Amino acid sequence: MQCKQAWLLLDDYMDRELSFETAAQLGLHLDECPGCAAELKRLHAENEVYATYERGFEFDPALWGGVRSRIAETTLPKNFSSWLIALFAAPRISIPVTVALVLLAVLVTAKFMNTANKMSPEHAVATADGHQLKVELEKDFGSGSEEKEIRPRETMLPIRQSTPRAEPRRPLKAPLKSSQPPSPQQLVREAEKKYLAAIAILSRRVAERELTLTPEARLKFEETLAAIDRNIAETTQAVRRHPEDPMAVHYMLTAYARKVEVMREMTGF
Amino acid sequence: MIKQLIVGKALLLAKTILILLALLEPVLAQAPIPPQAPEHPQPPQTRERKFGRAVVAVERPVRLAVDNRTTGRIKVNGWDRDEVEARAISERGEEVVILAINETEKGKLLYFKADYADLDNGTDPSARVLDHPPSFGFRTLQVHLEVNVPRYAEIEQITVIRSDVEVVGVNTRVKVFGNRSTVVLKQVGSAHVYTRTGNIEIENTNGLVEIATSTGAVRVTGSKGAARIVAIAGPVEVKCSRGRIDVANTHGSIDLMNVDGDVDAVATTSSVRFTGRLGNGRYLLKSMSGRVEMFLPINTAGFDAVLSSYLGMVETDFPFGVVGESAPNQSERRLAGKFGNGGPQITLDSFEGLVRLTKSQPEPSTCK
Repeated sequence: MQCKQAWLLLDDYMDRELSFETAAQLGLHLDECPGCAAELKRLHAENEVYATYERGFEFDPALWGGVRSRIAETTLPKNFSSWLIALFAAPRISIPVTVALVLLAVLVTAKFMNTANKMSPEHAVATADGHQLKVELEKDFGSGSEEKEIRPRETMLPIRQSTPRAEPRRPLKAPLKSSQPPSPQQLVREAEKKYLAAIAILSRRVAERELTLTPEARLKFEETLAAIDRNIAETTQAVRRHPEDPMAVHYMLTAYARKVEVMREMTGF
Repeated sequence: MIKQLIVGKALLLAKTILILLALLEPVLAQAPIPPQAPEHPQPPQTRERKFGRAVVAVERPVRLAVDNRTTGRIKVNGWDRDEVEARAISERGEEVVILAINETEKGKLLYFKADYADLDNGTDPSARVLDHPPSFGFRTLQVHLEVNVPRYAEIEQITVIRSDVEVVGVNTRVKVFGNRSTVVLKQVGSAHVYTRTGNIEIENTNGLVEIATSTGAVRVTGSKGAARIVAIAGPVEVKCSRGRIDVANTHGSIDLMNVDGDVDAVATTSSVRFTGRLGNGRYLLKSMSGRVEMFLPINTAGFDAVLSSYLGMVETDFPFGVVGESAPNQSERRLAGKFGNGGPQITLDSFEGLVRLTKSQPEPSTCK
């Protein structure tokens, strides 16, 4: 049996819907093929997550309050050294796994170096001449550099790379493959980026507007934004843990939307 | 000297190998774990296997649990009889229905599950439980479970992975968890559905509709109660609904047609569209980067509206007194005012998409 055939049968195998003969054939293949066995394991894991998934569906209005209080309870380590000690106090990974990971890392690095050295000149020129997004949005915040400043409308336009040769290239923003629909995680990430871009745009205007506010109004505004930021942080963690949970995603994006709304109110009206 | 060095090196090498072997011993010793299929929910207490169909007389109250050994569909149909009838069928014909009955404080709990029949056993095809599905050409044999129940029967949560689920004509709450399953609920009391990728279709519910899906498409038609829908990437369509509608979608479009109740529809990167007559409620349509459009009949009497877009355009076919247009130096476009005598409150907003309020020719309503 070939991997292509095996992959088509994995779902049925997992659901015990294959005939005895086919299941036996597939079982033999799985014993010999780590790739297919890994895929089966992944399917099992997916189903286990799903099987244990329980949701109340309630749109709990007290959610934000709970999130806020939980964040308030969270205390940071007293200092960096204690945090470092705590990190290494207990082994996070067993020694054999660590050894295996080190070996794997060495192999992957060797393979990568080999591939990089073999890259053809044609390929190098083609990528260097290609278009590139000006900056990754996450890298923009806090940079303060004019070069990296986000500008409305222009930010998303591709621009020609100014230093195509000597500097190490930033990775191109991976285009979504047309043949394969983007995963929910990708879409959520895109949505997050939209909000982050909007927040960056609004931040400049808010900064200008803040100068005209009374200290009390400014304090209230900052407190509101801080509370929203805590909600964003909390809900983002939930989304990272359950990236395909529509409710978690909904709560996170609602928090982002709220921030945009508050900032717009601040800038415009 | 050289000999000592060689011996020393050899000893060091041997020591290193021994340490490595000791470290890897737990990994090497561990036999590969054979994959195990997930267990299906355990049926309550004793059970019997019936070939073809099972019939049980019932009275109020009665509860029902349904399951399927295979990925065949599960169909529950409400009828006006005080009995429950379950059938298991496949392309081969009749299969086995597993039946269990529990008397509980809340009434009878009936459990039905479809299974393969042992057709090689001519006298009693239901007697033997097949370890593996029978061969049926080169295809997987799916056994479908079809159950007729009194409309008052309460149905336990249906949890499936790939089995499609259809429930029609029961007056009670129906709750379905389906990973990749398509779920269709028609004329049920209330509908609560979660799927990961499976599509969801809800029609003519009397009560609340609650839906959460990752990438499944959602269509809700003719719901009399409120509807709450949360999706990540599937398109959401709500038609002819009378209750309040709350929809949140990250990447899929939101399309609302002839909705009478209050509307709160929020998308992130996709469009939001409302078509139809206004009721007396409030309509909030919002998108982060998608377009937001409302199509109202040309003879619309009046409304209060706020239309805004921070970076996009704002357009309206309805002339209404603009009382809150943003300052010229602001990039935000904002129109606010009253059309006619006012009335329903409309808020259309997008951060960078087009916002448009459009007159459309009134079309005969297709709502029943």
